[in-house]
Amino acid sequence: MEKQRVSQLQRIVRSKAFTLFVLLAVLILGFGFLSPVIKRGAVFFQANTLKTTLQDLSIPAFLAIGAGCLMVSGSLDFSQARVGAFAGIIVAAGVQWWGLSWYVAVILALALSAGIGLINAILVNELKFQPFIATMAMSSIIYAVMYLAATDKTSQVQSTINFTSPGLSKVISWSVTLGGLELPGTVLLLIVAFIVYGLVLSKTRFGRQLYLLGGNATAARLSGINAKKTSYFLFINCSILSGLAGIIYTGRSNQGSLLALANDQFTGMTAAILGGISFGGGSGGMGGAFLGLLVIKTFSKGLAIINVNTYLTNVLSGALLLAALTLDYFSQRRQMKRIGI
Amino acid sequence: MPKQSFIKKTIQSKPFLLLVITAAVLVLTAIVKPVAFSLANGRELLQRLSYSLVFLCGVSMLLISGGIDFGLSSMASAATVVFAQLVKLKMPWGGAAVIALAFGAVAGLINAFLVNKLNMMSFIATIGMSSVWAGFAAWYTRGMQISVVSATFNKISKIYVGQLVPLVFIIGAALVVIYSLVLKHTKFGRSILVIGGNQAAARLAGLKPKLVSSLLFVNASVLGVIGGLIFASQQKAGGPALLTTTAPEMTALTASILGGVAFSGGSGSLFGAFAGVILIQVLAYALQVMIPTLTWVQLFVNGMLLVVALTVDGITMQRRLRKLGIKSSGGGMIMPGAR
Repeated sequence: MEKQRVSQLQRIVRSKAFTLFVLLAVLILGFGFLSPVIKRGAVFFQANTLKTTLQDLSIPAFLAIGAGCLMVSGSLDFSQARVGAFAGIIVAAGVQWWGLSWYVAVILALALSAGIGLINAILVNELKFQPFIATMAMSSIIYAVMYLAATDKTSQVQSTINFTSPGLSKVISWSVTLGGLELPGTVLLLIVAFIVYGLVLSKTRFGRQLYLLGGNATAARLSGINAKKTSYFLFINCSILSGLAGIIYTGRSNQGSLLALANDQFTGMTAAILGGISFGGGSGGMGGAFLGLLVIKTFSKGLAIINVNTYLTNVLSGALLLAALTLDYFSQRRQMKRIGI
Repeated sequence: MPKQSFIKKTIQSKPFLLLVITAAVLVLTAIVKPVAFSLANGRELLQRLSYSLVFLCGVSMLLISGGIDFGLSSMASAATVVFAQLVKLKMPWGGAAVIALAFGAVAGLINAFLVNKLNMMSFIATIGMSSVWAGFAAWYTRGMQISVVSATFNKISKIYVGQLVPLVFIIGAALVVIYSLVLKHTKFGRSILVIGGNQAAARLAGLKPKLVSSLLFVNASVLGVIGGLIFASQQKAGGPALLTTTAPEMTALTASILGGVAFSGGSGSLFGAFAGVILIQVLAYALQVMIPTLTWVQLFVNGMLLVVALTVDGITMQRRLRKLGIKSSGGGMIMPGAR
């Protein structure tokens, strides 16, 4: 009995979630106590930090969910940021130039995003492209289509399209007050989304099929799982979520931009890998991805508060991705050793 | 009899087809816009080809060995920043160029370490490094370009042989010939092909796959810096986003696959890749001359070329496997060979 309890404790301490919790706590305490020392007048511990960090979360959160599901099944999508920017351009151009009402523009943008996901899935499943190159090629094609959509009446390409839509702004900025803390609707939505996708992954038949596919695709196919259908679903799902992220970005800034979400290009994937969704697929879950995302965004928020140059944040996003991959490599090697391979 | 089959083989080969398509594009341009055939346009096209060819050598060799580098243009842009800044600090341009090349070699070594020591897949490792280099360069310059203040260096790209052909193009073409010979006629070159085909078998045969792969990563980065310096000489400036908009490594990748280098490594020739680059640059420039306002069409065609190239590559691969009697496993959800 005693022994079992110890091993239970050990298991918790060894788990990735625990490491991330510790990391998060260290980051929060570190920034909290060091930021006034590093830069005079910089305060990390304030209600505003929590609020803006949560708001910053909502865009990459949808990218992380989409990327996480795909990666569990052993695939990936590099076109996420471009799909988001594309959806934003469609909404902005739709409202401002084509005279659509905002909800029609939003539905159109989501439908087109789903179409991109479908093409990604066709390239990967029918033409047998490797996912990374298929989605990279798609992102350059989407860029071309964005240029087409962002060309105004005088044949000039606009890199940003400003628009006003009281309806969309109202929906995006809607919020509820819970116990004195003002929770934006988008944050509520992302929490619900994480819980729903987390439950689907861990508790349903479909979710377990994804793990099997990611762990051993051949075995999964032999056991009767329809790999193709699953892949189609995941790619379309990922693109719709990316489109949603782009629409939230566009609704908040009231402009569609060709370069929207470019800073968050790898955030979703990095969060998923940090959270234990292994790069080859077959492991991890939504809880880890959420924690990974929190770590990334707390880190960048803290750096912004102590006034680190924004360009260096770009360096960091790449370095973090590599660090996450390195950790993934070492944990996989340890696992292999434990099994005895 | 063998002579006839040689001609037949040439006509059926991919490079020949690519050159025929290039000729067709040129004929179409001549019909639609005859004034396009001017000395200035010819010079501009060859200038664009010159740095593309330098990039091509590095990318093709790496791809044949089974690796890939998506960070080349960011890294090369960062190297032009180093170069321009050193020249600005009164260093002679030759010395600055050597330091820029050394910077490239170090960047290549980092890639090699990530891929061969930490076992990362090369595409993701190099994509991560790409944002590291782009970020550093943008941070140092605050996103601005630095002009190269050496008149001698800026003139290099303006030297023409016989009015039309730039010296830098000759350098690029010479590099293609040299690397082509290395690939075909040396032991090292053939070992690259073997490693790209089957790494495990190559190791069992006594080759050193990791060493060769690391050398090729360094080689690609150094060549990337040379290409970047040629571009810097043309633009008279270095900058953090100098090359990222033209993305020569993507052009080189598409060209290699168009020219018959297998995406999963192990086969292909530099001549095919060379024909691929010619087609891509001629087509892009022809579109720019014929329909200058339709930027989106130019971008679209550029993106579609990669899809077409990969589709043809996939079909070729499946046909080859079928001929050998191996049932296609399919790319599908798994990622074979994406080291």
